[in-house]
Amino acid sequence: MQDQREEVKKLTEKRDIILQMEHVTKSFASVQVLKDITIALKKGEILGLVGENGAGKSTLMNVLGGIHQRDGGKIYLEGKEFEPTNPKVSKAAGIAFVHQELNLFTNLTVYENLFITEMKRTKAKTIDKKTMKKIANEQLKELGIEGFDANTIVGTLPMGQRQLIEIIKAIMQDAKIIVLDEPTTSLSNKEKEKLFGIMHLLQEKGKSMIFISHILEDVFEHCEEIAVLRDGEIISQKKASETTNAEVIKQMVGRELNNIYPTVEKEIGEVAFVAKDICQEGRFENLGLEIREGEILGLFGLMGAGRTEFLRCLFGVDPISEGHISYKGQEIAPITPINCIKNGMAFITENRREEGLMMPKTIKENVVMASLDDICDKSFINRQKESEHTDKIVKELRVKTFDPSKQAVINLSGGNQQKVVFGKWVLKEPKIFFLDEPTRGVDVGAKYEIYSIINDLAKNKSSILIVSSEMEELMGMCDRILVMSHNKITGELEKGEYSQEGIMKAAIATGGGK
Amino acid sequence: METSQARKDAIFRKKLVDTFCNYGIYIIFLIMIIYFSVQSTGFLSLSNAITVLQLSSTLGISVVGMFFVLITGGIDISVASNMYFSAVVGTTLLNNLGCPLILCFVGSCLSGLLIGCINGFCVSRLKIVPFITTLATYSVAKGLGLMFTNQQMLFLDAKVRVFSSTRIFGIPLMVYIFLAVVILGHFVLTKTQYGRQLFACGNNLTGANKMGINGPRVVFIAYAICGALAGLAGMVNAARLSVINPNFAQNDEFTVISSAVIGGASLFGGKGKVIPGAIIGIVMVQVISNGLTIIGASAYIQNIFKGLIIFVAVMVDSIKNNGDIH
Amino acid sequence: MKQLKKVFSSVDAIIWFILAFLIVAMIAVPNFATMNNFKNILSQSCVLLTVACGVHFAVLNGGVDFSSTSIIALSSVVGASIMSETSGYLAGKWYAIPVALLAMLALGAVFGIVNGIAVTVFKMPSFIATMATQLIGTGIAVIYSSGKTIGGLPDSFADFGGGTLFGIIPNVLILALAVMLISHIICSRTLYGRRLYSVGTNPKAALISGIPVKKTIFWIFILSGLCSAVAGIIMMGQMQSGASSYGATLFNDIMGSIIVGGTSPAGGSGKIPNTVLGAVLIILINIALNLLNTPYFIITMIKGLIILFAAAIEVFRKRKERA
Repeated sequence: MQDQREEVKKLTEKRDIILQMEHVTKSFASVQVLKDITIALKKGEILGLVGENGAGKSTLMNVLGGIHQRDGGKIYLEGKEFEPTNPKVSKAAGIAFVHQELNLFTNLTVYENLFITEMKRTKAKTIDKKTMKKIANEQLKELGIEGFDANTIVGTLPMGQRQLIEIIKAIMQDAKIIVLDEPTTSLSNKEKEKLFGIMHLLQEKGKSMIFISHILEDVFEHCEEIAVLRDGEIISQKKASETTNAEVIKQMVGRELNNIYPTVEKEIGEVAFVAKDICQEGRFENLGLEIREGEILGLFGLMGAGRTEFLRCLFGVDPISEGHISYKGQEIAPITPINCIKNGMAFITENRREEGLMMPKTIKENVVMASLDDICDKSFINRQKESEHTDKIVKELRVKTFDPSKQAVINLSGGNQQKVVFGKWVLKEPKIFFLDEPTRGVDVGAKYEIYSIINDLAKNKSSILIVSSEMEELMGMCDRILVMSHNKITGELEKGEYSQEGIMKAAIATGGGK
Repeated sequence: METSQARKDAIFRKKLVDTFCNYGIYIIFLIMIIYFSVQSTGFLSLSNAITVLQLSSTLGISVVGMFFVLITGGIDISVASNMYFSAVVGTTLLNNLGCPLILCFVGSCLSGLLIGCINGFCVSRLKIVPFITTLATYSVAKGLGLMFTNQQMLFLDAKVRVFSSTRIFGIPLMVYIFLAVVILGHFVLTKTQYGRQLFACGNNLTGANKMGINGPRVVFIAYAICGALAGLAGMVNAARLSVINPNFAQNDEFTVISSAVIGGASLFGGKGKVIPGAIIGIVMVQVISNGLTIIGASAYIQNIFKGLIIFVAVMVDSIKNNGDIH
Repeated sequence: MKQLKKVFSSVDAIIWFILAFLIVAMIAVPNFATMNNFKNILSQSCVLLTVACGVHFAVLNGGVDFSSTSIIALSSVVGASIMSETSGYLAGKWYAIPVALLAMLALGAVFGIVNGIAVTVFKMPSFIATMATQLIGTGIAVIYSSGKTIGGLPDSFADFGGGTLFGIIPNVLILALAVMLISHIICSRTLYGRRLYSVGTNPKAALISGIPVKKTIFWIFILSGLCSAVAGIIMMGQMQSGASSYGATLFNDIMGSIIVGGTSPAGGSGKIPNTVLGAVLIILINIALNLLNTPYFIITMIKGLIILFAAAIEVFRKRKERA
């Protein structure tokens, strides 16, 4: 009944609706990422799209952009049915994307970047710099962008201004709809204001925009309507004036908690690991944290909050300008991976393909990679020890393989690959264990096993720090949760006080002082 | 307090390194010029200047080609053998078939193009590492050249004098050819869509492919151009010498690569201005080489200097670009 | 027996290539299957084997060491100039030979240090850094020896270098096999070898796993320099002299051996036994072509093509693996 009424209401408004998606679904393998997407974008409107990490925002945009094909549902563009079969079709239909990652050539000028695929030519077939510069400068002027012109080399510009170039690129495609995917994460406040100014300018010209962001203040301030996406469903689409900050947060986080987390009896001891005054130029200022013995500490943050970067600093992978770390009062200096490992630290990065594993090598070679010193007798490999260690790990972590000394890691499933990364460090019996997105790209069964491994480590008095973008994972696993936002720690919650709303509030905070 | 002192030191060190990277080569160059002119009176004469110009012009043509390949982030080691092979082809056309001079130049250009295309195909389509590819074609081109000459010295027909002795306003014809190639190269790199896309590919090949630029094609053409220009350079050099030894152009790849790097092209891709880079680079290298000849240094001392020059040039480039370790 | 089987299964396609080539050569090439030729093969392979093992380390990291050939030349003239009985600095002294040999090894190490610093500290691409040191090294060798061949080596050294075991196996082959064996052990059995493969496969993962990446890469060039110096000793023994031209044309054979042996130019994989077999195949091709009176420039060309084909096959194999 209500559905029908909604339908009728939408039909009457259809005239000024430029883009409409109805019951769009999409699944990958057996996982349904988009369950039921019904969303409408009006002409000349900015629609805010908010949702937790993994809610399906990027999949939704990829469906619209023609990168993925939807499984079901309909898309209407200006009232006509629209089939985005590939990126070119979407582009031709006037849909442009501004992605978070920039696709710019830093050695070329602004106007060259704008025209690189199709340059204007003179009669003599040479490139027509004059015209291109003129067009580019006109665009810059029209949007009121100052501080650089068409001739500026992109590499000399700060990140925020580079983002503006991406937007101009989108405009110059003569787009009717511009999708901005988290465009503000790397911008300063001033740059952000500039960006919003431009968005409103475009709005006046009748362009429609979808603005994806997790900074609710911005969304409320600049969007007419707000749609909340959760677990592949649009939970609500409302006028910004008709909803409140609190309501949106509630809708964002109301996820079903369907994962079961293993429990373990353990004792939490004294403070074991301390990081103090960690500074990185242009990012962190005096960050610090403490982990107790046997404690599992969670570190939550939305995309771009700086959680991964912070972890990398603590392990000496990325350079820091100042800072100290210590274990049980003993300072670990200088902070380099080698030194950290020597002092019983371990680190699982979020990108296991590029930084965790040697993909073409065998399980055995990968497992012993971090403990080469331990399996060697006077710098010769002790093959028996090597096999014993590997077998122990394969058995303990239940890695599914026919032969760990023959099977290459590249042929394993995601879950098993992650177990191999775990095995690499478990073998070292680390006292401090950093885990960055330990269950990303891992199926449900393997997830549970990985959680058990983490619990066992904590039981054996290891101090564990988990970075995750899945809030429920942290709530299920951790004894304490820290929340980061804008490269600052903005919240700390003890186990008793966990609530999705509380965490989300801290995660979307602007980070206190300017 | 301590840390700020350490920071100051680091900043000072960085400044020192920067200064060395930006001006070091020029300072060394100036010192060498002063040394040469003190050692020999002939060094700073007009006739010697013309000799240097001639020497620079022949290899300079190939330096322009090397710019294209370096901008892609690759390298072409095969240019020297390519010069030999192409010069032999051009000379064969001249001596045995009696072709007009201009055809011989076209012929050597085309044979250079052939080698360049093989390089381009292997690098851009088969994705074989550039230095391995061009190391292999280095041998192939050298072998082909020796096969044609049967390892004999090859004297060019007297007709070639028309080319080598022609001077316009007292400056040899080949200097004009070099300048024409430089201008053409500069034109292609700065005024055509291809040129700009080449820079884009050298900066971020995956990004370029994503945006719909045909990256492999762009890279292929760069190697083809490099090959063709090496071929032309070979024939011009042969015409200047009017004889081709079996070790013609040997080790010239060092001169060509170091000139391009000194001239501002980077081994890490995406950079380089043919005007004035190619001219400055090759003239600097050839002035040193000529100075060494004048003060009576042997070919081997020359080689050592070639090695030192390329080492320093690439070192500066690497420090500036903070390259990957391989 | 089991061990033997393991060795066979580890050598991949190259052994079949060699066998096939042998059969064809025995049929098609006159005088191929003779004792004399067999001796030839053995003596020719000594230098190539030794120096290829060295460069193998550099290729494992996706780099190369061009300077190896110049180290052969320079170390041979320096060694000869120290121990030569006619013109040597230490002519007639009892310790002339050990000092000369040590000097040669030290020279290889010095080149390795220079290359290593260039690659790890200045972060220069190894192919260009070693190309430069190669040019410099060869130049110094020519100037040092004034372009002359330095002969008159002490009898004890000459006897060893030219002598054979049981009339067939050249003494120096034992030296080469020792280098090969040590390299193989380093690659497959030691801590350093493991680190090297890790760094060559995925330097980022290696860094995070606590492997000293720079130190590992630095040592590559020292190992390579030492192998080249030993190759210089072998060459000096075989030729009974030192000369700046030694090794000059060897580089294609070296690169050919390594790449034909299935080592990826991109780094991370490749075994010493395969490189050794690659060297054997290259030598066989050399000898067969020589017996057929093929002019050397054709041989040069063929070797270039072999490198290209082997590299292409390697690339395709990898692509298939990934798919």
